[in-house]
Amino acid sequence: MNTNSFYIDSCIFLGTIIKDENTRACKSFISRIQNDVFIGYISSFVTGEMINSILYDDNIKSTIKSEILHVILDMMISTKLKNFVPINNDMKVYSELRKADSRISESDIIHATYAKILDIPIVTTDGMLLKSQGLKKHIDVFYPSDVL
Amino acid sequence: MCNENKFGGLWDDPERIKKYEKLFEDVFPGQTALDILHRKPAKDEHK
Repeated sequence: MNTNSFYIDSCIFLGTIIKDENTRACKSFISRIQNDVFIGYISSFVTGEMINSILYDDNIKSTIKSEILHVILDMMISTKLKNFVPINNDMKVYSELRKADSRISESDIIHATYAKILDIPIVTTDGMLLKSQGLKKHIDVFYPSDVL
Repeated sequence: MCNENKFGGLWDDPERIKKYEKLFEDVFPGQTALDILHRKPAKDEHK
């Protein structure tokens, strides 16, 4: 396992901009990526989850959506990231992880699947992922400040 | 129309980060990143 490589969940990126209890940890983690201390991996599902949540949120005015989407793209472009693209047969890991914890959403299982294929931990602030004992049998799941 | 036209170098631009933080604060008052992603956090959250 690569000890300084991490698959980064979508909530880490949003956590750097939205002010909540996880902001400090998320910012510190991203700064480690920018300083080449850590290697950060994402996939199209990470970016897609953020874009999707904004595009289809009926509570956000359409004029504001473009500004929010700009912020997301700016974050992704500005961060030193490696983009993981699965190949044929990679997704057989998905079935294995899907059975590990039925409470976890499809998109989160995809994130976990890619982390397992890459053989690296996933970093997240999502309590569901952090507490899943079933998932932890397959991959390491860390809160950002736990790896700093 | 999007007013901001800068892409890249965000983490070295504190003013732009502040501007984005203010935008998110205005659009998502009191919400967390997990709320924005429409995820339901566990009752007692991460720790």
